Amino acid sequence: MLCMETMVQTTVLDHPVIPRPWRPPTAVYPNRHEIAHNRNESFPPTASGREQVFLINLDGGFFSPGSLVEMILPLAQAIRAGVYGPTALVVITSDDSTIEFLEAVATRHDLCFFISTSTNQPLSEARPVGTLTAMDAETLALVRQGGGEVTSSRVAILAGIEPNAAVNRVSSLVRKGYLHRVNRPRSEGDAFVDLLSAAERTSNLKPSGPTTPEVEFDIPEDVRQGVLQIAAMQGSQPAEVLMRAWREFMNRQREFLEKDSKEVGRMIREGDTDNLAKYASRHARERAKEASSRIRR
Amino acid sequence: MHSPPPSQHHRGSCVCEHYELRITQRCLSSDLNLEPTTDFSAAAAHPIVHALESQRSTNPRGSKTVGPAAGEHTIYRLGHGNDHRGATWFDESNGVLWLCAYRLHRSGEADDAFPYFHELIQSGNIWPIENDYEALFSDRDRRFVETLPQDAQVLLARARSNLGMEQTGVIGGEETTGVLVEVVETLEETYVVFSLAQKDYTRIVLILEAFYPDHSFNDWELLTALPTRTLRPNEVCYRILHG
Repeated sequence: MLCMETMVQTTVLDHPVIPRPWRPPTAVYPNRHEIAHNRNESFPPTASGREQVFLINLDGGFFSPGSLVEMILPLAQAIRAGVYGPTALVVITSDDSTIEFLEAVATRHDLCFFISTSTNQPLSEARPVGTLTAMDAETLALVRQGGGEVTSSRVAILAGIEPNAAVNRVSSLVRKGYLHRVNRPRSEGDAFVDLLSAAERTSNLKPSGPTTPEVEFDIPEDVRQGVLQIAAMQGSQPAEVLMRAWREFMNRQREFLEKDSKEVGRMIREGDTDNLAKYASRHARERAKEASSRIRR
Repeated sequence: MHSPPPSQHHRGSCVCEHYELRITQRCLSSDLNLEPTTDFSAAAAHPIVHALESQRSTNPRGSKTVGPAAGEHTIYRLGHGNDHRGATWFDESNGVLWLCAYRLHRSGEADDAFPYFHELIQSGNIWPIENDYEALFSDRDRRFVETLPQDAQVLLARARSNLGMEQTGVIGGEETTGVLVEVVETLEETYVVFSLAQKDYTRIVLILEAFYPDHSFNDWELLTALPTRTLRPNEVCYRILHG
């Protein structure tokens, strides 16, 4: 997209949050050793120092309770121990019984992770589970409402409470692992970051990764990247630079644009307004995300 | 003196000359007891929506604010008669004026409109959210493609009737576009010029296809100037030839 709406957002974090999606192959998993092997392969215990989000999509697999524990418990414990650096864990499952079971595991073992019920659900709506109090949950909701990156004084304003009380509230969430703290100069105040909101903003991420096209044809990742590069130039670069960027994008993506244009031509000839509207709205959600986040800034 | 062009209802919007009026989904469902996807025309019977259209379609800012002025975040007060009160916000960068909240005015009572508006401002819930903008952009995209093909053909016909002279018009209700047609022996050359600013690549594909839906992207050639003038900043010019 050429317009500013899809620019990758600025954040208090030095780098975009790294998404690490993993979906175990569709299978029945009574074998805990196989799960442990797959888990270690997918998430080797090395701290990169970068903020990251692990996304485990359980849909499509059939897991015994033992294999579920084997998959989630060691990972969540390692995250809590800081083995991976600043990391949030999201488990994606639409099965109510699995959710109930995972909630119980989280509470029993004092774990911190998030549950999303669909690959289409925005990450910032993933539900925290574990040892959250009602006040913790309320505070986390306020942080997300504040854009996912707040100072304690912002929380004090949002919650209508004293600054000291706000510090206590966000510190509790940091201690339990639901928020990431970014140390900053005293004049700015430390920032408290919901890594899921940050991942959503900085990575244009959906929990499932680019597996489900929103309209009837895919947008290749290199097209999306080119679009973001051009968007980043818009408004900050002279017109001729923007034109060069467009020319380069057009040359590199000629085949893609050619395919799109044939499809659009067919829709126009056939008066297929519904699909034309879908095509025109291909980036509506990203534009909407940017427009609404501008209000919160 | 001439009166402004009449506003038009289209899906969730009331389209005015320079911007459009909309109602946030929270306001529709919580304050007006309507479905969050209610069309503007269906909501227009409500007194506050009627006031929105009559008072804000030419002047996006009222004379009184709800709470102190807060720069571009200022919420304005909208009133109808003694009872009906609304809170509006003008999002200038997106060209949309939102009805953000509504309640009856019951001075001194706990459920009065103004304490309610203040509470919404304090909690940050008064402003439109992502879903509101997604609906706004989707409606605009819909409006664009509904009129684009016909607008493009009308403009092209005008350019064919005025060979060698650039014809400018708005296509799809939003895109100012110039078209120039030249005929060289048996070949017709069509030049289409429009601004690249704030443009999604899908818009570019749509615009070009609207002029010649039987041709595809590779049939168009990107140029650095029109035959009659150089390009303005951010303008892009495409040419297609056919016999």
